[in-house]
Amino acid sequence: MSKLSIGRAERVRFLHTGDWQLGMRRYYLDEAAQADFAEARLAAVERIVRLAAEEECDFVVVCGDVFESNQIEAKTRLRALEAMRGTVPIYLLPGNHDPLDATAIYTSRIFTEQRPDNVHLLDGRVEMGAGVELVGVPWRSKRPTEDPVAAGFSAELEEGKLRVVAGHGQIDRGHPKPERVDLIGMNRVEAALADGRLHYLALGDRHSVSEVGESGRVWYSGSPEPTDFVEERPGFVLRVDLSAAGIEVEQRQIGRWSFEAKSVELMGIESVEALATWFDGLEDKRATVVRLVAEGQLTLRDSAQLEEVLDRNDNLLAALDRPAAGRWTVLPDDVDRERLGLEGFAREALEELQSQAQKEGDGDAARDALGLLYRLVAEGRDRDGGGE
Amino acid sequence: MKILRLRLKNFRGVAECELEFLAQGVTVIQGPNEAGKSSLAEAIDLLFDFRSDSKSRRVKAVQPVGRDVGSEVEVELRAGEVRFVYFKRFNRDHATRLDLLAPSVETLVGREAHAKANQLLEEAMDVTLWKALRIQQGAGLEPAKVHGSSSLVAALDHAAQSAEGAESNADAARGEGLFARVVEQYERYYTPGKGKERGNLTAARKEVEQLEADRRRLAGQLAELAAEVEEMATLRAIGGQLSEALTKAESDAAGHREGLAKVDSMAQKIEGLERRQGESAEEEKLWAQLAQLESQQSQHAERAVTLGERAESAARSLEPLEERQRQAKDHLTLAGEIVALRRRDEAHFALASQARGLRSTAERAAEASARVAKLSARLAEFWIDDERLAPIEHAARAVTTAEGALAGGSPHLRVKALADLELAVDGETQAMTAGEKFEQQTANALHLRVAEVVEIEIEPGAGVEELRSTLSRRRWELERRCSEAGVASAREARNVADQRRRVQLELATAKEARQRALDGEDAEQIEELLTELDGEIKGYLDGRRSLPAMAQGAEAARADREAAETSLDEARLRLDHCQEKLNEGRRDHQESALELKEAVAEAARVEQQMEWARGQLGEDRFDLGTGEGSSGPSLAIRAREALEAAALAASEARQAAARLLDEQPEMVRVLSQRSEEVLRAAKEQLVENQRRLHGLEERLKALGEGGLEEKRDDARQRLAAAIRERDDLLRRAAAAGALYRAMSQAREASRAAYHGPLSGKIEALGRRVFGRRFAVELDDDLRISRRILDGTALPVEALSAGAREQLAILFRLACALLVSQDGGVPLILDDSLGHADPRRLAAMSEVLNEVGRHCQVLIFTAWPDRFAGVESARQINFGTVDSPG
Repeated sequence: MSKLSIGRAERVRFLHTGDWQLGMRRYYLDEAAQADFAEARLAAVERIVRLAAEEECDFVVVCGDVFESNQIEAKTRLRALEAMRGTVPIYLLPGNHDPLDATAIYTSRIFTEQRPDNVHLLDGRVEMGAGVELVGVPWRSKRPTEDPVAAGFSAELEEGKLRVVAGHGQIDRGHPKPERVDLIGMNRVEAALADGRLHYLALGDRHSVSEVGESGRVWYSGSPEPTDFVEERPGFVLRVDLSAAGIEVEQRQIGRWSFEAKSVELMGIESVEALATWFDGLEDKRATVVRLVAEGQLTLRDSAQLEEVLDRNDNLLAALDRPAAGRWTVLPDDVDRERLGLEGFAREALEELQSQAQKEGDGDAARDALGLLYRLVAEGRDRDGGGE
Repeated sequence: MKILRLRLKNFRGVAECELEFLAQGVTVIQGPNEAGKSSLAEAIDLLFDFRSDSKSRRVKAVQPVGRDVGSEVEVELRAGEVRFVYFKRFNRDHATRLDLLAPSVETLVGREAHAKANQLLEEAMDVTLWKALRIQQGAGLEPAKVHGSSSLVAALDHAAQSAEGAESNADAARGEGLFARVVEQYERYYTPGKGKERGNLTAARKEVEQLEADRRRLAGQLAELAAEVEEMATLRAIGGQLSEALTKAESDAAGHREGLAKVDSMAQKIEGLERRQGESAEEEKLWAQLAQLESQQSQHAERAVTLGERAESAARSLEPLEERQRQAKDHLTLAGEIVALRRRDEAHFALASQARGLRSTAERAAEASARVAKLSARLAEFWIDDERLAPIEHAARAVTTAEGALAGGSPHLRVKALADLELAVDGETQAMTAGEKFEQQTANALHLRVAEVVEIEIEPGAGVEELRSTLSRRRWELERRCSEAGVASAREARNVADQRRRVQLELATAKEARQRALDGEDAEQIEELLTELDGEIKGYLDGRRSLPAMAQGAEAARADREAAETSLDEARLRLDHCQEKLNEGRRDHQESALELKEAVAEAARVEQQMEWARGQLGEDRFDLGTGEGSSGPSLAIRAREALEAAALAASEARQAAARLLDEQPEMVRVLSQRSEEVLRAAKEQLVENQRRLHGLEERLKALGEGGLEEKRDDARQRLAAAIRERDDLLRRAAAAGALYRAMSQAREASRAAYHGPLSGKIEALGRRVFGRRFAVELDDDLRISRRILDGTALPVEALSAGAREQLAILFRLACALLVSQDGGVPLILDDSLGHADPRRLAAMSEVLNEVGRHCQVLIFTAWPDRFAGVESARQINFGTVDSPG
């Protein structure tokens, strides 16, 4: 460990992370995928704990939304706390999802009685050995009435000391809005950096790792595992080396999961094949969630091929979310009709369904019926042992 | 397919027999009961349905009783181009053989043979229809299940749309098979018939509803929890306010309590003071009076001293004021003098300026006078004035007139040279060139000579002489006038006159200048004035004192004068000020003198009063002796002290009473009471707040650990999954429904088309049996449901056994006719029409005869004559076991 010298801070090293959102659920995941998702997030916490020890960090600060909510189940709480067990102190800051209110996890019996020795609630100032102080500004309700970090660096700082402030919330980018009292005022932050009341501002809330401003001393760490399709750069923690001489911030990959939103326009077998190739190219499929919006129009046989591709990947991926809104339409063409080889009343039924399918809106059932017909004919051929 | 030949050996009771059938037409195989007719049909079934090594009970049953031999069946068949012999030996020494005869020749044995035969059979005929159309003994009354028969459907379809070209058997088979699978799909979700949703759909809907209710319940609980968290925060805030209010109430109450105590103690104190004052009122009054007087006296004495000092001081302070006033006065006088001096200086400069002006005027006037004198002297040099010039001018004009007249009267000579020549005029020679001209007027004689050629004399006439004399006279006259005037010529006279006029003009100008310089004054007077002024100026300068120095120039003098005037004004103001101060000092002095006088008078008056007071107090009580050495002074001091103490007590009592009144004791009491009440209420509220807070805290802690949000999210997730499943199911159900409806509607439509041909065929055949007014109704599965005869419709079940059998055979015959072409199968009737009466039998025979023209019909019967009516039939007698027909 990088021991802090007495009196003056020479160097402090810590991991900055946040937005673990433990206990989060995703409605588009089925039961098994949800379990994997939860497990992956706990594993990420364990990796963070290991990384902190390997890199000889003085502490780990988790900047809010450690838990998805204050109302999570005992099992989730216990497992989370167990995952945090280690040698490096971990400071947990309450965020907007897990505020320090009457139902706060951090004052619950499980936390107070069963947390590992290295896990602490961060509420106010902590002396990290002489020369460095860590100040956490927790959320106390879901609706703050003031700048969520300013209190952390308002006090003057003794000459030669270093101050790390941990906060949670959105920034105002230097353009204060009178109606948004809950934003972090960047002008105040810059002023505190300039006059030596602040040396590093560790922020949580944004799930993508990102630097704020140009000082190199204000960062969002992002989530260590991605949580949604919209995040730009999740999956990292920040290793921060801070000294009177300067600062060094390194991004360390932690996350393994990925969320991919895919939109395709289907038209012809080539588009189906291209989609299959895209799926094949995904790495670590078991840890990948894909949201597929596929539009367009396919023939019966191309649609059957597509269904095969999707069924395959539905099994391979952590989850394949197929919102009902974006569905391709299926219409048989002449080749389809010829291949079906229907005559008599079956052919009449096919023609009837086809004309229904071309109707906008209520043609869905007819289109699906055509798909079913295609499948049943194929099955019939298999059963007859024949086919073409 | 046609069965051409059938051979049996060791089959049940048949030892060996071989029968040949008509490929087209009716073959009646007739034999007695138990002759083994039914074995024939059974043998065909076994051959087709069982492998030769089968251990089936049916197979074992055909072994002849008591003989361990193999049972052999051999059939020769033809279907289209294909012709083959199919042989099997069952039970003992079982074997299978297939001999293909056409189109190619091949022999297969064993399982291969069985498989190939099955394939050929299936390709050649509709096995379902084959079985359906067979009527076995005793089982023939059931309506044939031709529903799934492809040949029949194909035939019906063909019949229904014969114009369009029918689909192949395989297609029709596929259509029916497909429909069966569609129905299967449909019935996964809907009940057959009414098409009600099955349990799986309703369960899916119910599950979604259930989960939605769960989610709503949990969300509601969560919202309640959030509201309680909010309430908790509010209660905490209120608790803080209540604590503050309590602190304030406590402090208010304490303050009021203190106020009340103070008021009470004040009242007590006043009481004591008043009592004490009352007890010694008399004594105190005397003490007070005397003390007051003594004090007054001493005050007056002091005052008198003070006033004396003040009066003295006022008197002293008058002296400098007076001195300053005097100085100011002197200063003013001096300033006045300087102003006067400066004014005189200024006047002096004005005089000097005037003198300069006058001197300049006098000099300009003298200059102008000198010029006048000079010009007057010059004028005398030019003696000819206009008066003298006039006669000369007159004479000169007369000369000119005379000269003109003479010139006008004199001859005019013009000479023109014609060649270069010399011309001499009055002896004066001149050269002329050719063309040159010479001209002259002359009043005298003229002598001309041209070269040496000619001389010309010209003499003027008499008139010219006269003119000449006039001219001479006039010239003389002019000369006379000129000499009189003292000039040589008229020209000179004119010159002199001109110059004179110029001098005269200058003189006038000079005189005018002199006049202007004097400006109407007299030069002598000016001189006098100037002399006077010079004297005055000199006198001022001589007489002026040297200091302050005189200014250099008028401007400076004026500035000096103005400065002096300003100083004067200032001096005046200073004097006024000093005067005022002096007046004030004098007033002070007077006032203090007056006050002193008054104080002395006052002191005397007090002295008088003291005298009186002392007299009142009496000498026996107070030794008020004034002697220094006596005990008087200490007594006096004691007395004075007592007096002062009494006075102090009274004064304190008064002050205390006043203060008490200021405190508003009644109000203090009311306020104190109220503040105690407020305090009590605040305490109660705080306790209540803390009680509720505590309760809520416990509850929230417990609830918070219940993981409500995660449960809600879990419910939400399960709901989403259930919705996905339900929608998926509904979607599949909708697809199956749509497909089923489309297909069954199309099928119904096609069925409706089939009804016609089938019922038509049945009726055409049946009318020969039942008469012209026979009709049938077919149900959806193409089974006869009712027979209509002579307008009476009866359900099949209500008919007699004979009629039912006849209808069943008619149905089969109709079917066989319909499929009689390529898809045709042999129609086998086994011991049928036993219930028929002779008329019906005859009619049926006729029908069979008709049918036999189109397809193969095999009839097994025990009655030799039953089918005698089938005229085209080939009759085969099937004898005893040992004697084949």
